[in-house]
Amino acid sequence: MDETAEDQRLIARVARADEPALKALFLRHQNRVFRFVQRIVRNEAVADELTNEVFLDVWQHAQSYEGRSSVTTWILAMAHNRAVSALRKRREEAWDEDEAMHIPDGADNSEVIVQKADKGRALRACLDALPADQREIMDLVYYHERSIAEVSTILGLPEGTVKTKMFNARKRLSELLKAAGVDRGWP
Amino acid sequence: MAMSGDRNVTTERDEIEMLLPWYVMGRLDAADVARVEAALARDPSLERQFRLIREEFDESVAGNAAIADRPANTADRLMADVARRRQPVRRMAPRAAPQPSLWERLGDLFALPQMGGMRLAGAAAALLIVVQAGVIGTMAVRQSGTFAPASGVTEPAPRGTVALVGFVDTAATAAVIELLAAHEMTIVDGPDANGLFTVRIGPDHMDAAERNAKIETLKRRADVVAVAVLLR
Repeated sequence: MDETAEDQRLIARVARADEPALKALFLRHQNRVFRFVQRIVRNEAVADELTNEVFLDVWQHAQSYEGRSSVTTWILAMAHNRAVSALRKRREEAWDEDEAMHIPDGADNSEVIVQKADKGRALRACLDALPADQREIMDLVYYHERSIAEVSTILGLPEGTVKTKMFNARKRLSELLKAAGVDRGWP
Repeated sequence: MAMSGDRNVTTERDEIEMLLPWYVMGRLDAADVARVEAALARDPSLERQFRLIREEFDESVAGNAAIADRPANTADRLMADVARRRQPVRRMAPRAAPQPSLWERLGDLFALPQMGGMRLAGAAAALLIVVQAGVIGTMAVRQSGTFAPASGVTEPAPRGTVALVGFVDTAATAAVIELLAAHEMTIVDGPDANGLFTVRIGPDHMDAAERNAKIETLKRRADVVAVAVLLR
């Protein structure tokens, strides 16, 4: 049985209040969810708590899973919502998802980045310096290997917006690298 | 966005460049693949993007991989939270008792149609598996030479590819140990509250076919294995 079919079988059992199935699903996906959330909220303790909450959401809402997307995509959508809510609370201000998710990370600036040893590390540092929403979409495409339709489901955005958002994230990454002394020749 | 002139006007090249990350990742639908490949045939300079996308992919993966796995026993906390919230959860067939005992949970486990090979034998069988699970856990783990403490103690996540495995209530301890040893598998944790074990089935970097083959190997031994689910 492939992994997708196994997930489908497990979620059907979770919908019947099967606790071992929830545990199996959790053990299969917890690290993926933890990494996804931690890359957004940048706090290990918060990410740890949110990961648990995501799987409590899975437990409570498994009956509403209709199989329109993969179980992984469905869980990542809940993780996205949890992470966005956590950022909203942390910033203690009226939430404008576009605005708050666009706040660039201040951990590193171009001058610091340019002194880092090699291009790979500079690239990783620039990825970390992207605004949370741009970092998130890069992770969804590259690390979580989600399709355009799946990213659309997870972020709750039209597919056209997903493509534009990814394009803008890649452009922003190139701009940060250029400012750090690494010219990729694009855009 | 690399849009010519008017910010709202997207060129055909922009459209294709937008699709390239998914093309490189093999996650485009057939129509878009054909569209990208036609564009690449017309304008080979688009291929320069492949190197950039590969770099982005490598560093995105590296950034995620730098985040350590969670401890192996994090599931215990989740299951405790589930137990606390069990009462308000809406279910199609509400349980008579709000907090089923271990015996009731094991009874549910036996009743599942997907678990071929696990026979429903009532409370006596449930008791047997709990007792035997403890014995198997102790013996198999000790035989492997790497003793793993019982659930509840914080342990780092086991290395390698691991599965969650439940054994048939009537399986002999020796049969379990023999099966695992024959396929170079080791119990690294368990049994948990449901009598399930975490079993290392191979090294970290097994491909999907190898992982599935190992799981199928376990499932084929329906006389010993009741359930085997890949964890990671």
